This record gives sequence, structure tokens and C-alpha cells, in this order.
Amino acid sequence: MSTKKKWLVHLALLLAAVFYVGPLLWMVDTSLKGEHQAMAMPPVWVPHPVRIHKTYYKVVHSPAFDLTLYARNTLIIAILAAAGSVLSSSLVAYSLAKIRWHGRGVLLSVMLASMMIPFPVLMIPLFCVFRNLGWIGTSLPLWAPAFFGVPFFIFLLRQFYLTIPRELSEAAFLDGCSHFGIWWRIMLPLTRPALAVVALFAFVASWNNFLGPLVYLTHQSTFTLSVALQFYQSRSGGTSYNLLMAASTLVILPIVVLFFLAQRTFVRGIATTGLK
Amino acid sequence: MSRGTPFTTNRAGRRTAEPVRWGDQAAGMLFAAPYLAGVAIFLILPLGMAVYYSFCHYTMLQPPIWTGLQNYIGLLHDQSFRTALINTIVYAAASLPLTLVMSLGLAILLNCPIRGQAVYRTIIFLPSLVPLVAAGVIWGWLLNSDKGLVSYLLAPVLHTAGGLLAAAASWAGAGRDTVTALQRLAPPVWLADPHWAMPVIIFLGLWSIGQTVVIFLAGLQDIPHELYEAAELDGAGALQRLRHVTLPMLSPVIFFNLIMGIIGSWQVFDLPYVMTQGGPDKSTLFYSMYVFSAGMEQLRMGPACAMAMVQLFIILLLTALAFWSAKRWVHYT
Amino acid sequence: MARLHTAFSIWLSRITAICVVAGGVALLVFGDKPTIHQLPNGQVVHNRVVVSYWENWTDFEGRAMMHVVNAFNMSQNRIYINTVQVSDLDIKALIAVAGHDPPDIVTLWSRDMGEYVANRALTPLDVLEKQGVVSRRTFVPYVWRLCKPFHHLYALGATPETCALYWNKNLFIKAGLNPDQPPQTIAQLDSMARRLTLFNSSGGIRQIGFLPTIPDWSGWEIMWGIYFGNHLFNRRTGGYQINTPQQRAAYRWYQSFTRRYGRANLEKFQGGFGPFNSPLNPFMSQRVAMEIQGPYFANFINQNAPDMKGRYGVAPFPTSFGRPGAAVFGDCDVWAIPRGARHVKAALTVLKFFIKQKNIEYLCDKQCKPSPLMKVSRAFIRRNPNPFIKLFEKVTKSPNVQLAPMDILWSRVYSELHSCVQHIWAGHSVGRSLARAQRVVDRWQVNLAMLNARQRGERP
Repeated sequence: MSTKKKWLVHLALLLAAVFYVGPLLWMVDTSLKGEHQAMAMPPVWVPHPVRIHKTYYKVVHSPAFDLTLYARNTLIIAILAAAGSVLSSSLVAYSLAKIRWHGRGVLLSVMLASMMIPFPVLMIPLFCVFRNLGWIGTSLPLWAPAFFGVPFFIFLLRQFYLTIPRELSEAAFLDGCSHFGIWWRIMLPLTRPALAVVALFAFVASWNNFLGPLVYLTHQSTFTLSVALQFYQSRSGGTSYNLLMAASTLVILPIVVLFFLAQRTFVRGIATTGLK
Repeated sequence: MSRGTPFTTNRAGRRTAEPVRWGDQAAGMLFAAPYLAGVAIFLILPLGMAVYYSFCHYTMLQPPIWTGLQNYIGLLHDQSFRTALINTIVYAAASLPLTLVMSLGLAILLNCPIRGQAVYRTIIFLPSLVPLVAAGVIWGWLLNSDKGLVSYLLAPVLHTAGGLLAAAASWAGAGRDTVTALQRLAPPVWLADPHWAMPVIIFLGLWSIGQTVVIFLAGLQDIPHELYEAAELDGAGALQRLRHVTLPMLSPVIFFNLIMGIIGSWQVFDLPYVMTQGGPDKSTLFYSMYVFSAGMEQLRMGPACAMAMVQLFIILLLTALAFWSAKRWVHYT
Repeated sequence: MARLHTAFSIWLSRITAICVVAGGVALLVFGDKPTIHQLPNGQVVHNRVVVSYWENWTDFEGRAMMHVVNAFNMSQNRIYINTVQVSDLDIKALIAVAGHDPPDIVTLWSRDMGEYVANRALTPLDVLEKQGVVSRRTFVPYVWRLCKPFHHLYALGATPETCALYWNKNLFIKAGLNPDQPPQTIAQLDSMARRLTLFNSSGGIRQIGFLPTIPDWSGWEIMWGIYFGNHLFNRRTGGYQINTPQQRAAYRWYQSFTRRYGRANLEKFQGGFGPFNSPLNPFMSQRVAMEIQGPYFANFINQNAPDMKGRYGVAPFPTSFGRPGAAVFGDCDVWAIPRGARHVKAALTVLKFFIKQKNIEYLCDKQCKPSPLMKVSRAFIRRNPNPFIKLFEKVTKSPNVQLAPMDILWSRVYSELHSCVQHIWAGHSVGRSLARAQRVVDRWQVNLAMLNARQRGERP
């Protein structure tokens, strides 16, 4: 690549970088200012003095935005959703990839078809289902279904299982190993990377979910961060921008940290999903 | 094939002569039991309910009353429904190609061997992890009509450009109105303007395309280098290589992203709900938002379910269409 | 794919997976702090019926209510009120009722009453009337109309919110207007507003005299017709009056602001407003000279702009057809018991306590509002921190107060009108927009009538 070309690429990517990271920087910048400084025109670029005690402290201690409670709610739901997805999806994927039984093909097609159905189609009737189960008012609707298998993850893991050589499981079978034994002793260890991807995706999807909690959570004490942030923004009378930006920063931060901890898993996971 | 083991390597659906052992049948169903139950409870049951309620007047507070096709006929007369449908189609038509081109372009750039590649990749990927609610809140602030940073930065640019254009226009003998209009060129009020709100929402969709970029990037890295070398030997330029090597080789990935995009555009909810609540003047009222407000805000479950059915029908139709067209342009190697 | 196996860093073993699951379950089971209900004096509550109460007042308004709640909790030892602050309460509560999980008491706005009642989402409170706890004479007329809409008592008035005109005397003086003479007609309002509007050097608006979209709480805009003599809902015929000459006049007036100042200019101006409850509130930061607001606004001025005390005035809002106050838009917070509430009896006891004159007056006093009760103590008038309490008391008791329609279709009509008004604001024809909204609403009413007929026919 010629040097000139390289500079062009750099220029294009720098522009893109401003678009992608600029808003996040401005968010943090605004969150460190006082109310008047945040709304000043022309804008104040460097907050002086830094107002952490006026913004972050105020957000965390706001009676309208019980951050620790919402963070705990979100964390519990996300962990349970991730655990449920990993457990059930790997079981079902094993059945679909490695066991021969009547109805397997039908189930696979049903699953593939159900991946085409977006959530808004089902959200209203699902509310009635959850109501009849007595789940309204709890956070069950947000994580319990994950324990019944998530089509996308089942499909992902099935593709993974298919690549595991037949001889491995055959040998184990001839040694007297049961299906459960094969799944537990051979498949799970071999598919750890894929399971990590599933856990991570399920966690992030659950953490960022907005429509689900908005529809199914009726008690403010069960709210998740996304819904709480929206209510914080739209509460009657409005919220000043510096507080909103501080709240947004706090909502985003855990996901960013998670990303840097598990960067490789993220990228590989996304890369594999597209290649199927 | 060794007899006595239950394992098969063939893909699902293809029958083999070997009979299924009942132990396998039991194990298979047992392992699949969570999902079998899941399908029944969380898919077939709600779908059935949706079909039933779509023919009823139902508020969840009183038992449903059968009204036949009333809800569907109501949709035909419903101006807001039509607006939501058109908005969603406009969004999909604009955002799908835009997203595909932008993410492919970024992927190609990110695939160039330059310094700081990893940093660029991280920066572009990161916003796709930001919850859309937070994205809406942040961009709402950036696009504030009076104190927004975007307008502040754009104003001098537009002012200068407007001045130059005005000079050019008056030189060319344009009308006085045109000249003054150009001189007063200023950033719009973004989300408060019914003409600008939709373009803004479409544009903001580009902020969260990190995942698509990564998928394309992985696809690009899977293209064998020999193909490019061969094309170069044949004297193909950069554009021709893109046209004859990259695009055909990437077509399965493009197809995957297309399908995801089609489904995704019918789910658009978070960003407009947070930023505009569907306004101003219904200019950002999306299909899912209208279903939500009919069902969860006004408790009109009948029309909400009818809309969900229509939505399902349209998506299945579009997906089928995409799969059908795929035969012509998707090359699997 | 095999390549991927080796490429992945193995960071999640079975053991960690199990730990995560176990941790999650443990967090859920043990991490959940058992809810301990405490009295204000720190005493833990045992063996009491816990009445869950959802309300949406925040900040000092919420604290005022908490005071009343605490007083109840301390006053006896059988019932404990567990207060939950809920935003978007109207929607959440309706869904909670539909989801068979309602609270025992809710605070509602008057505009939600019609829908709640028609959907049978509330428990009738007729027993209170039979016991003689409340009667027609207890509440001011419009509040009673609200609480007993269809021959049954469904709610009890809490705090009334009737609107009036607030004006900034400083800005009046600067513009050369008499600071003690508010506009008497809509035409005067317009001409004064024009003198009170100032522009900056680049043509943008610096200060505005009056704007019908301020405050920007959705819902105000659709009520403008009443100040032009319209009644949105005809109680006699049960029909909506959307496309009447009065409505057309109102919304031509409404639209005239966009033509006078330019829509983009107005949006830009309004985009820079700070939050309502802050010193950056447009009225308190001297950017808006006249504004329609409820009685509680005085409270927010006291809190955020104490130096404005005495520098602003309040008067009945002018009308196009008569003297100021010939029509008043009124709202009211009410207490109600949702249908399916688990502790109806205890909730009734709580409500009886809430509407005692002493408690209501404490609440309304702290919220700067007039009392919903006919009987008002002298001390209340004297103590109330709202300097214009006498005016609001008078306005609240006037027969000209108009409520949001009490109708099952209201929430739908409301959102239809809301987008209709936005359509008009965007510059579309007033006549055509209103006519279309009228057609849409009329068709809903026809369909509803058909449905009701069918329902009657099917039931033996």
C-alpha cells in the first residue's frame, strides 16, 4: 500500500472515529459539569471545576433513580438469562446435532423459522401468557424463557457441534458412555469458546434490553437500568442534561468494562455468527 | 459406517436407511425437552392467542368479545397505522442499503494494514454495545436544537457555505429570496422538525453498526489472497477487484446481514421511543411503537394482535423474497 | 471452525459456568433483602396489613404526601401503608390491573378516570357515601363530577390543579406595560405578547411574550379550545366536539404563532429550556413573560427563583368570548382503589384518613394547591405558601371548570388530538386537520356503539 493511500485511509478512519467515539466523550464531558456550565453557549469544552459531587453523587442518591437497585436488578436478570441460555441451548443443540431421532428435522425448521419472528410480534400475546403464569410484577418474564432455549444460540452451538468429529463421540459411546456423559465430558469442554460467546451475547442482550422490561415490568422496584434511564429522562418536569449524561455514563460503563475484559470472545463470536 | 453407534454425520432432514433406536429417540427428545416446552409455551401458545385476539375486542380487563374481521377492517381505516407502516418501509428502504454500504466500507478500511488498526476497530465497534436508550439520550443532547453540539459545530460551516453559495447565486442572477435564504443557511432543529426527525433516526442507525462491520471484516479475512493476486495479474483495478472478487465472495455475508436488517427494521423501537416518542407529527412513528402503544398503553389488544399478524405476514413475505432472490446473487463456495 | 477452537482463549470452564449459575441463584435468593417495613421512628412493623400505595409526586410534593402517610402509619397499629413512587403511573397501574397484580391505592390524574372507570379497572367506593363519609357537599363541584362520573363513586379528590395566567412583572415594566394589568382578552394577550417578545442580533428569539406550547407538557395544547368557548365533550349527546367554529378559531390562533415567529425559530428557542424544576425553567430564567400554569407553579418558583417573589402576578386566563375565567381548564389528582386490590377494606380505612380536612389541607398547603373540599379552614388560606391561594380557591370553586372528558375513548381521542395538534403546528390546514380528527373519532364512536349493542345482544 502506498503512503498516500495509507494517509487517505487514516483520514477516513479518523473521521469515522470522531463520529463513533465523539458522542461518548461529550457525554462524559457534560457529566462533569454543573447545570449552568452544561447548558452554556458557546459550549464549555473543559469542565471547570469538575462537578462529580454535583452530578454522579446526585444521580446515585436521587430518589427518582435508585441506581444501585436498578443495577442489581439488571445484573441478576442478565446473569440468569446468560446461565439459562448456555445450559438449555447447549442441551438442545446437542440433541439436534448429535442424536438421531424422529422429529429432529421438524424441530430444526421450526427453530429456524422462529428466528425470523421479531419480538414485537409476540410481545402483546406473551404478556397474556405471563399474566396467566402469574409472572407480571416479577422479573421472571425477562429471564425464565432463556431456560427454555434461545433459537439463535441453539443454532450457533449446533453448528459448532457439527464440526466436532464423529469419532470422538463414537469412541465414548462404545466405551459405554451415555448421551449425557458425552455431552458433559466431551461436548461441553470442547465447545467452551462457543459457550463463552453464548454467555456473553446473552448477557449483553439482556443488559441492553429495553422493550422487554418496558412491557413486562410493572413494579418500579424491579426496573432495569435501561428502563430506569428512560424514565429518568422523561419524568415530568425533565432532568437536566448533566445529570442525564452522568446516568448514561453509569449505565454504559459496565458493558464497556466487560468488552475490554472479553474483547476476543466478542469479536470472534460476532465473526462466527455471520459466517453461517 | 460403523453399526451400533447412533451418530450420524448427515445434515438434519436427510433420511438414512438406518432405523432410529428408541433409546436415541428418548434421549433426543429429553435433551430437546426445554426447547420443545419453550416452543409450546412461548411461541405456539402466544401465536395462537394472537390469532384469536386479533378477531376480538379485548382489553385484558374484561373477557374478549368476538368481532370477526373488525380489527383488520379498522386497520385499513387507521391513518396512524398507515403512517407507521409507511415510516417503517421508508426506514428499511433507506437504512438497509446505507448500513450495508457504510459497514462494508468501514470493514474494507479496517482491513487495511495500517498503524493503529486495533484502536480504530475498537472505537468503531464500541458504540454497538451501548444500550440504545443511552444512545438516544446522548444523541438527544448532541442534537438539541439550541444547545446541541452538532448545531454549534455546523452553524459556522453552513454560514460560510451559505455565504459562498449566495454570492454565486446572486452572480448567476438568482432571485433575491433564494439569495437571502442561502445567506441564512443554518442547521435545522433536527428532532423537532417533522422533515428532519426521520433522516436523523436513519442516520443514527449507523452509529450502532459495529457488529455488522465485524461480520464483514471476518468475511473479508476469509477471502483467499490468491484471488486478488490473480485479478491483479489480469490487470483489474481496485474497483474491478471489489466488483469481481470482494462482492461475490462476500455475498453470503451480505445476504446474512440483509436478512438480519429486514427483521431488524421491523423491530425499530428504542431510539425513536426515547428520542421523539413517534413525533413530531408522527414523522417517526414506527410499526413496533404503534403496536406497543395500542397494546400496552391503550389496552386495545385486538388491533394490537391484528397488527402483529400483519407484521408477521410481511416479514415472512420479505424473507421468502430475499431467499428466493438469493439464488441469483449469493455465491456459496 | 477447528481454527477457532485453538484461537479462543479458554476463559470459561464448566466450573466457572456452574459458579456463575450458582452465584446468580444465590444472589436472587439470598441477595434479596427481605422487605422490612419501618415506621418513621425506626420501629419495625409486625403483624399489620400492608397496603401498597402507588403515587407519582416527586421531590417536595412527594415529601408532603409521605408526611400524611407517616401520620397514618403512626396513628394506629393494624395497617401499614407501603408507598411506592412510580413514574408513568397511569399506564403502569392500568397494566398492573390487567396483569392481575394491582396496588391497593393509586393516585390518578383526572384525564385517566374515564378510561379506568369504563374499563372497570376501579373498585366502586359507594360504601363511603352510604356510610356518610363523603357526599355531594364534601368536594367542590368539578371534583365531585370527577369522582362520581357514572352514578358510582370511584375516587376521592386529592389535590386540584386549575390553571391560571402567570406573568412576569419585571418584563412587563421593561416592555413599558403596566405590571398590574394582565390581558383581559385573547386579543390583548396577543398584542402584549408581541411587545414582550425580543430577538437577538442573529434573528433568533431571546425572550417570548407568550407561547401556547409552553409548558411543553403534552396535553395542554389539546385543551386550548375551551378558552375559545368549546366543550370538547358533549355530556348530553356523548359526542366529541372537535371540529367546531370555536375549535377552528382556537387552533388558527395556535398556528398563528408559528407563522409570526417561524417554526424552526420557535423550536430552537424551546430546545434551550432547562428542566421544569430548576432555576433554568423558562419562566424563572426570564425567557417567557406569560405562561399558563397550575397553582403548584408558585411552589416551584419559591424553590428555584425565590427572588421572583412579588415580581410576578397570577390572574384568571383570558378567554375569547367573555371575561377572564369564563372557562378554566381543571385537572385534579385523585385517590382510587384498583379492581382486584388485595386489601380493599384496609385501603378504605386509609382513604378515610387521607380525606380528613386536616390531612388534605396539609397536603394541599405543602403543594401550594387549593383544597378540593368545600369546607376550607381560615388557617389554610392564611398559611398556604401560594401568594395567590385566594384566587385559586375561587377559580377551583367556579362552575366554569372544564375537565378532560370522562369517556372510555378519551385516551385514544387524546392521542389522536395530540397528533392532530402537532399536525397543525407543523403548518397544515386547521380546518382539514380538525375535520379529519372529527371523522376518525366519530367512526370510533359508531364502532363502540355497535360493539356495545352486540355485547348486550349476546348476553341473555
